[in-house]
Amino acid sequence: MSSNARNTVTVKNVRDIVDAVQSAGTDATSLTAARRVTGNVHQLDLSSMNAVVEYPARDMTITVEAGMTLKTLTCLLRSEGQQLPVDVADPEMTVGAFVASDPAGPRQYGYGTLRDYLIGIEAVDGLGRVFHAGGRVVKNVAGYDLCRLMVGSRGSLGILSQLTFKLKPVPEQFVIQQWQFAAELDVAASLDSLNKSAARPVVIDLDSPNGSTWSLNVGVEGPPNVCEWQIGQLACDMSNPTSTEVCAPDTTAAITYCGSGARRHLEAETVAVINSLPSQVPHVCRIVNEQGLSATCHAGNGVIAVQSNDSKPLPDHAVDQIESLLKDYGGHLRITKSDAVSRRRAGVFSAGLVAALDPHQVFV
Amino acid sequence: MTISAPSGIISDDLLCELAQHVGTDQLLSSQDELLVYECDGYVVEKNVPDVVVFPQSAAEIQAVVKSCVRHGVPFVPRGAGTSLAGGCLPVGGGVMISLTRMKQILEINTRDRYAVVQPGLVNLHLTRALAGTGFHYAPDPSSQGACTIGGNVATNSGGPHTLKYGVTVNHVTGVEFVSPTGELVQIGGPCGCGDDLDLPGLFVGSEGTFGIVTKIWVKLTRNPESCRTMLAVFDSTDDTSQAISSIIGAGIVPAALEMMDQGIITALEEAFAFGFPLDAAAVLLIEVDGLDVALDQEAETIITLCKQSGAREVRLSQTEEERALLWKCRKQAFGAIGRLAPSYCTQDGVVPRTKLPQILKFIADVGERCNIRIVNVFHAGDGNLHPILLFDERDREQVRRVMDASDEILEMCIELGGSVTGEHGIGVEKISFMNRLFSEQDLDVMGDVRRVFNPDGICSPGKLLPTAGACGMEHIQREHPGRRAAM
Repeated sequence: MSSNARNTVTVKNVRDIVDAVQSAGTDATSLTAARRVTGNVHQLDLSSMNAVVEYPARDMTITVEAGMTLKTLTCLLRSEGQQLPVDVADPEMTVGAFVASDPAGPRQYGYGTLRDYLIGIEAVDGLGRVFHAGGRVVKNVAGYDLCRLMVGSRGSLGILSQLTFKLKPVPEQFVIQQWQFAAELDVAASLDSLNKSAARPVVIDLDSPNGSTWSLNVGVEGPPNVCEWQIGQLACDMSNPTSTEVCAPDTTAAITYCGSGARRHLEAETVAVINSLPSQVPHVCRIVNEQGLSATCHAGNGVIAVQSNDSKPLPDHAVDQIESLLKDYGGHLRITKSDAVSRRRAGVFSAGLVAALDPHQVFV
Repeated sequence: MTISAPSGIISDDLLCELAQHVGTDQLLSSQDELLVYECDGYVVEKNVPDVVVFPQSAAEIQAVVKSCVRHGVPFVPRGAGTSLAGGCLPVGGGVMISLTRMKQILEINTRDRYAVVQPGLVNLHLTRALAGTGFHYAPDPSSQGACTIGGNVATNSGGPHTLKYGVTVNHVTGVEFVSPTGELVQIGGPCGCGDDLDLPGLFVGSEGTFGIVTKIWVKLTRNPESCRTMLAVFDSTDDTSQAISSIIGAGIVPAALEMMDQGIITALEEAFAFGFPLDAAAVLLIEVDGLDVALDQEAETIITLCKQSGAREVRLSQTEEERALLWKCRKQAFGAIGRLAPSYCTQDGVVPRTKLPQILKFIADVGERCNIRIVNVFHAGDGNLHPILLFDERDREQVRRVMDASDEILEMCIELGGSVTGEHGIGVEKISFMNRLFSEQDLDVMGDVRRVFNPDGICSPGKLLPTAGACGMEHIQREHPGRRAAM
């Protein structure tokens, strides 16, 4: 373990992480593995912990150290025709940070999110305890599922040191087709039809920039003849599109699209993220567009990013309107700020879990 | 129902309070009536609860829990009682909260692909209610005709089709529950958890130790357009394992990939006369589903891979009736075991899929060494084993050998990088394996997590973690192996 003047602590193994956590506890300083650090916080650099622990490719699982970058992981899996089918916004992000932040891109419609793929962890909690949960097999119900608890926990419960994922095969082909619309009713009708389409899309994204034009991007995958058949079916699902074009003609382009799609929800222009019901997406988009803001949506999942080119926030009355709508069915609105870590809205049990695993508030 | 004089740890006051909460006709306290609730599908350890109550609402459960807390009496939820690991055994006695009256489907929303159900709803009843909508509820434990969705949440149940579709946790987005202190809490919902921790993900599989579930939000899954079902026949179990590995390794994710060995084949043939070859070492039941346009090619690839791995024959079901019969054979395999021995015990170990040849050979060796006949029918695609140890429980020497063999098999699963349970849960049955599977620190952290929800250990004591210290958490010594129903 080494540290420098910028309060960066470089760790090379789990023992180093334990030492760093215990030192922070003793010194009453704070610790994070996040890249963006503000204030008097020691940053843990896990980039040296980047080894493959085990990759039994025919079992379709992989165990890696948390400091491995997503770019490295993706390349490794590609060599075996496999993938972790969660869209990567930043290839230089480490696997541990990816799990802690739980971003979800366009393919969450077809593949789910990280919680569906993380099957084992090793982590260090705020007391310096190294703990494990799950394992290296794809089906396992022994013990509490702390893996899912760590997904999206933003480092509040511990520092991840090792992760095991189950994997999926890379499809033979992955393509994305775009349809344009000029009426909200047609968008809503098309989304309704897609829900019961004869095709089985893995991506249903909607761009609603201004309330007068809409772009619906739908991704399908499989052998070429199966993709072609599905695109044909999707065309039948669309209600009065004004035009259609290929958005991503091949797997490489489609994966790039998905990465961009994930990134857009994290960009500085994103002033709020809404978790709505899929059926309510056009309605919520209308409210957003009426404020002069744009909405980019993983419409199949009801996830909407509200974006503003000039950092204009979502006005209070629009927040009230959306929250009132979401309250009816248990949706969520999170106001984001590009220059600060947003505060988690935690319930009593979440707060209790944080207090149990980080009683000295070592983690920020 | 009659109210008898309270026994054990239940006072007259508590009994009266419980009767007020649920009504005297929804409470059992006489010994003959309570006997039914002494165990679940795991019949080894038994303990009669002091009282069983049948609430019909979350408010009634809250009142029951608050009374139990006030009187310091442990309580345990129970669904259909199909747990195979003693998940609803009332360790230390106390109040059993049966959820069988809370069996309503509260909402079905196919547009947004979710349903809201009460915990006592039988798994299959939801899928039946969805008939004709084009959707279904994916987790399909073999006991789905009896087990409840609340019970599935408690144990994170699987089933044959979870290879492709995932287990219960992959299909639950929210849970409402009465906490062990009597508060009504909702975590998640139809739109997930938003900015909060993934508490539903933690709650699923917590085996009733975090509270009493009162409402569940589940995802609905599109029905596949079509499927192809195949039966591959092998002359050796090594070849069968090789075929499994080849199929998965080729990037094909079948909807189901089930293996049955010769012992099971023989019993099934006697029961159903499907036409299984009695001289085969093992068969694989393989199903792929999805878009019809894609399936012929997938089936053809699978047939080729099976033949390359040494299958002597691969049959493709030609009719829906033939497919249904094949699945009937698989799902009723355990019913056919009765033809082989008076008693049987099943384990639920998991190994990495590529380790199947080693574990199957080990199981055969253990059977030989312990002089116990063992047959296998299991979820091969997941590496989730269900070795069935056949014996006569009247012979204590055989019983001892079965227990030794079971323990050896689970130990080997751990050694091969696997787990002791893939879908049945730890319950009380496998609690002694937890400190072999996890370190002391792992268990400490899990204990801390439990205390956040269940600070006094009063809710479902004695389950899942081998920690002591809370009421009713006395360790149970196994004296007999389990005799099980179905997986």
